[in-house]
Amino acid sequence: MNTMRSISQFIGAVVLAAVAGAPAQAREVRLDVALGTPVVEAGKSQRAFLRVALTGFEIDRPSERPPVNAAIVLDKSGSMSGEKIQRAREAAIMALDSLSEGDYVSVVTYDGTVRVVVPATEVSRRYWIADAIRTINAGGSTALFAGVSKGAGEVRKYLAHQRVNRVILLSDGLANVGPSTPGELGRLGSTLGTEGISVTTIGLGLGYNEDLMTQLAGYSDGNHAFVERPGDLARIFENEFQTAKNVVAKDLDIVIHCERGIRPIRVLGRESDIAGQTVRARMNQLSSRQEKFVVLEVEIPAGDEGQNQKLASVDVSYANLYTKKSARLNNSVSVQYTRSEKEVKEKANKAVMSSSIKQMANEMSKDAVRLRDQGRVEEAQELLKEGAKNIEQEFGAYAPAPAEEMKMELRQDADELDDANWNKKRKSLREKQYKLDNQQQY
Amino acid sequence: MKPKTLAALILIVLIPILVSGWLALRVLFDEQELLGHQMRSLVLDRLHTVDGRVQDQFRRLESDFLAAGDKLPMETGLLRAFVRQQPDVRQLFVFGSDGARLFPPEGEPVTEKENRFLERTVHLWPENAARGSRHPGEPGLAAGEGITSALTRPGAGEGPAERRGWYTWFSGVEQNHIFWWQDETGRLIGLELEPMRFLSGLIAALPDTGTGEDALAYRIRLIDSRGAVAYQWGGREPAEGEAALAGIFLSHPLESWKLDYYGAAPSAIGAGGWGLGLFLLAAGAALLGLGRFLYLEHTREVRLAGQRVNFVNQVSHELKTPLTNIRLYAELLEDALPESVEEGGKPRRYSNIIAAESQRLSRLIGNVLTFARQEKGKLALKPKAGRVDDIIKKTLAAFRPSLAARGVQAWLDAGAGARVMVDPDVLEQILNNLFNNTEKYAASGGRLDVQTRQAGEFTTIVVRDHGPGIPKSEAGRVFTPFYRISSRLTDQATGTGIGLGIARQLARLHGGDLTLKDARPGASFEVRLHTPAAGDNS
Repeated sequence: MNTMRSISQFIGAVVLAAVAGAPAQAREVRLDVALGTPVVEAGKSQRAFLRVALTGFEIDRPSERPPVNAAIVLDKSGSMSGEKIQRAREAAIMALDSLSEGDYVSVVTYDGTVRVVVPATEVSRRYWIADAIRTINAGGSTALFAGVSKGAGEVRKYLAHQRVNRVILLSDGLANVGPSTPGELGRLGSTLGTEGISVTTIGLGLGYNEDLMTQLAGYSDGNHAFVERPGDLARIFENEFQTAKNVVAKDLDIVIHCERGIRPIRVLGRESDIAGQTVRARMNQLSSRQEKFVVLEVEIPAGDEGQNQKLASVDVSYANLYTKKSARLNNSVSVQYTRSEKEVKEKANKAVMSSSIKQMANEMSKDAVRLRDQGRVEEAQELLKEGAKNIEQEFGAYAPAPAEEMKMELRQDADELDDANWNKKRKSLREKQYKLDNQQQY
Repeated sequence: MKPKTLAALILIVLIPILVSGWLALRVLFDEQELLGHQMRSLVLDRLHTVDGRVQDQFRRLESDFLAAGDKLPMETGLLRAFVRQQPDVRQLFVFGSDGARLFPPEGEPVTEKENRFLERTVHLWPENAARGSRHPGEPGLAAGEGITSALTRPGAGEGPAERRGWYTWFSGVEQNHIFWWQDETGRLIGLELEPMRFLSGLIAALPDTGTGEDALAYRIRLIDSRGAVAYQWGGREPAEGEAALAGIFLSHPLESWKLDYYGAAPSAIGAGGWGLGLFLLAAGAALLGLGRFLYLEHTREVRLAGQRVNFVNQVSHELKTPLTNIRLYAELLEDALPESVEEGGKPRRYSNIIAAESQRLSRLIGNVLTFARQEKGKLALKPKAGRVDDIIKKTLAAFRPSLAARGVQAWLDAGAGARVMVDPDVLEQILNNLFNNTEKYAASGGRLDVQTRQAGEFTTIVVRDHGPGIPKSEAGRVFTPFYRISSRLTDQATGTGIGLGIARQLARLHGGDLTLKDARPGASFEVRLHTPAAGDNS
């Protein structure tokens, strides 16, 4: 008895020592609020870019990671038959293997109707789940909306703030049963995002609707990937589940209060609400070491030399999945007026300028695709070339490297607009735009 | 076997099969109709259950909304936060009790989404109500009616006491729903449903296709107000243009939505048909078995009867020779009696009795042999030239002693003296049977009249007694072999029951008939024989 007690005391002491000795790392999301041009020319009103960046903290103990609650939604319509469905099955089973006990998973397939192949269940029943996945065969039409809805329904069974709630959709085709437009699916994504469920969309092959898939993912703050070859599915699933396992913060609510006289113009790339001086944006989740940001374009009034103008204050609230508490962050940013053009250039924040340029270019790219969709190829190319010129003129002085990079990229995009294989280019363009908008990790 | 028996047996088998088959078919058709009806009501039940689930969604939203609404802070920022955090809610409006719009705020900056909400609901707002557009056929607003009056007018809510309800309208092709209520302070609050969220939640709550066998049997489709399939489940793939087996419209506020059920019509006829076929087969087999049993029984009895008749026939044949000897020696004995033995003396009387009884016995045997021959179809006529009256006199003479012994006097009114072709043995046998009947059954009448007449080629002999007679009801059956009239008549008499039948057969063999005529008292038999005139050479 005595020995037992002393052993348990010893173990207790070791554990205590281990906890106490752990590196006292901040388990807190980092908030950076900065202007691309913290110092601006006095005497004229001008545009400026305000970046609110959030960075996920390092995970010190991976074993404590928040549980994943994922629904894998597989398109099994006729077009998926053959290698595609086979690879999808393999990828799903592999993803299943990467999860551990305490995680929840469900598998939903759809063609014209939906089947819940594996209802939401704890991952401990691995063999049974894998067997069920192996029975999936392709055939039928495409009820994408219903498939995602059922998947969300399964996730909802174990929906919890401290879990990473995710629907992972794999589709190779166009939705044709139920709501089927990008707008409608975007709104579905938006409400799922509000519930704390993000939707990751994986477009396989060249037959899917990339607008629908990016909107569905975008409004719920999920990921999006274009997978041309079924053989790449396993890698994408692995990435997806890796990011899901690395989520450290959820329900990030960003509120930017602009000071009087500062006019918010637009948020680049992200969904946001602007009401008067208040700008709101939301991110569903943030992974470890991931940086996600909101770039707000504002108009600042003319100021006198030497004047220090408070520009905005930022409030961020989020759910910390490691401390299991909700946390608040706040910061503010000011702008300095100067007569020295040199100082403006010297003080420019390269990182913020780089993000801003990329987002600007991305907006242009989206506009160009819109024109291209209307068949106005030349106009679209003109827009991109003009945009590249503008970026160089406007930002070249502050951030020459990213400006040059974006210029080249926009020109390349312009060339690709009349590429013979536009369908494929459009999909990879959308994927690129999406990843930029959402600062996707893979 | 006789064809009649075979036909009867076939009928015994066929009729029950046909009757039971027909009955079973009727039952089957009735059952099918019933099954179809039950199936339909089952399907309708199922669809109504689905409708119930849809209604549950609305009820859940209502209670969620009302609970949230109680705590709704009347501050723009907090209201916006409320909208942002409610996945079911697309937008929100609040009107003060004075009719002023509190949210989305008037005279304050609104977000892009709020602005779109105001545009979407433009026809609802008081100042625009007059030019409000509404979807044809939809319960909407009367011209000139603003949102406050539209939503709270009588009938808009579920009752005057509960000032709340669902309001549905179309913006473009999209159907929108607002749940509105008026709280105690008189504020009018309306929450616009996010249609995509509503549909998505509904889909999550409705069944999926499942993996069972049953899942392949049907397909249920939820059809939205545009006529498009919003959701469907069940593994059955309806053919192009296949009509739904049943369908219902959903309840308020989704009354423009439909549920259609596709499935195979009840296939009871298949299963039932098999059942019926099997039943008929079994019944047929059973009846065939019964038929065969009856047939075997019948042939066995016929064979047995045949054997008996054969036996009796053989016995009769065997009896014939000793009987002839007895008769011969009885006559020799009488002849050999000395003259001294007086007429009524004992020895003469004894020998007479022996002769009479042996005569009676040979008549009996003759009947049996004739019957057997008749059964075998070997009865043959051997006509000879002779006089009918002679034969009658001879036969009557043979009967006289025994008739007299019973107190019966015989009278002959002879009228058939012509020489004709007649079978004397046949005629004698006919008469034997008739006289014997009189002797046995009608002795009480005390008199036997025999009348003979000849006309053309026919001779008619009427034999009439004055006994108890034969009741009319029995008249038809006295000729049936082995039939004897009920006990009263035959109480004291014995007999084989074949006499009259044989007599009639013989009469018919002789080209005539034996019939029973009306006579009161007693019975009168008329024998008609075909007796062509005899040629002189014979």
